[in-house]
Amino acid sequence: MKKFFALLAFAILALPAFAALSDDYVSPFKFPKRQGVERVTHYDARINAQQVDTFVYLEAAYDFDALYSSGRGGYAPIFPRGTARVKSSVWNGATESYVLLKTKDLPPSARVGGLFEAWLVDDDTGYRLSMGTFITTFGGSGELSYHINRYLGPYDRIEVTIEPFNDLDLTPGPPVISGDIPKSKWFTPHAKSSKLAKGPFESIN
Amino acid sequence: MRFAVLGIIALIVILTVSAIPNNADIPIPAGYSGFDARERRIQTTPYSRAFQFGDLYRKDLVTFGSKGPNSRLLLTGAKSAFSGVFNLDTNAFFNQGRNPSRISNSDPRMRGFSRVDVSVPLEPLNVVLYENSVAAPRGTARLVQRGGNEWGSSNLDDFESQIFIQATDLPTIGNDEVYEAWLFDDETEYAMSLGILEFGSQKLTATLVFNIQRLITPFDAVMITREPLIDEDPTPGEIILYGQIPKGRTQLPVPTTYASRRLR
Repeated sequence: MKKFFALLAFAILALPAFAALSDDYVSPFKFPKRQGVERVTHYDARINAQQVDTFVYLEAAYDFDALYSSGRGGYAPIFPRGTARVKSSVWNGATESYVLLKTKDLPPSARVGGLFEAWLVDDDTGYRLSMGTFITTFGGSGELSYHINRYLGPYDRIEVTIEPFNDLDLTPGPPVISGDIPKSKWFTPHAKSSKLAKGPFESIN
Repeated sequence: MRFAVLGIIALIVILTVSAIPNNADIPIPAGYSGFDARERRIQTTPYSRAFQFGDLYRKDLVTFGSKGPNSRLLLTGAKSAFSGVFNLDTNAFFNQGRNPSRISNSDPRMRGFSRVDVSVPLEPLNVVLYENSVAAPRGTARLVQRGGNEWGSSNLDDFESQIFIQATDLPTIGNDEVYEAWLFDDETEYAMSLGILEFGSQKLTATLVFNIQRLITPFDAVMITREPLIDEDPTPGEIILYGQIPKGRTQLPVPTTYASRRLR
């Protein structure tokens, strides 16, 4: 009798073997390990608000090989490039963003007879937000600063296109330099609206 | 006898009147610089204000010292102090009303530059929604663009456009929704975001001030839409207010010249 119960207990304990052998079973080896704040199940996004605070490195968007030339290290001594500092944050219903773009070795405006326009591009929807226009001086250096009261999270790329002077056509010209905006690898969930503070005068009213 | 006396009096009057020097006797100044040059250019250039409309319509030489134009003139894109043919109809950011020095039929293609300085009333797109409410949402947008001159000015490519928006009686929205303003172009159907309107206390009015370094001449309308605060889709949402930008007579519909330009 004891043997029977021992065998029965062993059979019941062996049942999970079928689950382990089936393909639907997700073992810790298959389940992606979430890192950062995504592991925390009761994470409150008000601790680390959504923000973008990065540098974007822009490189030639046309067919230009900067790495096979006669300059030092094999780089071409003159190649179009740029850097953009993107700062964008949303907190407590207030948003603010800055983009500061600087370029070097673009075609000089006086020589080509055109100015440059910077765009924030969202590749998912194809929408482009114009950040304004700037000219480049001798040496191809130009700069542009942009400030908007909006969160720039959805944008993936910064692109600089060349446009004619007094351009009344809003379609962008050919791109000169472009660069991807690096996204944070940590998952930041949106704050629940119920947890958002309602405003500075709510308690008075 | 009486006729002789009258005749003599008439002769005296006619001789007196004919002795008054006429305009042909005043010589055109011959100097190459300074007051003489300005006077000569005003009198001889066919497109100057004084030539077209007479001496009564000359602009006073105020605030021009020996050092050049003041900051107001530079910021508004006025021509230099040493140009005798500055003849735009008005150089102010406000309506000139009954100012007689305002030329009402100025054509910017004649001389000068294309400029945006308008006030746009914003009206609800769907008036039916607000039939039962006390007041429908409404607003005003003020668009000012300076710089980008056509003719030899120093700020050829230093544009700055400013947009000031005020809106009132907007429908109340939740904490995670905002009102966003856009400039819209009919030809390319492109909407450029201007940012979020900020509410005042008790959320009665919403305002926005936006500066951008580009031309806003191509845009045809201003609109205010309702968007989520954290919006994955940067395209405009439901339109609440819409206003068509009136094209003023100082605004060129096409560029003045298609020729390639040079920068100094």
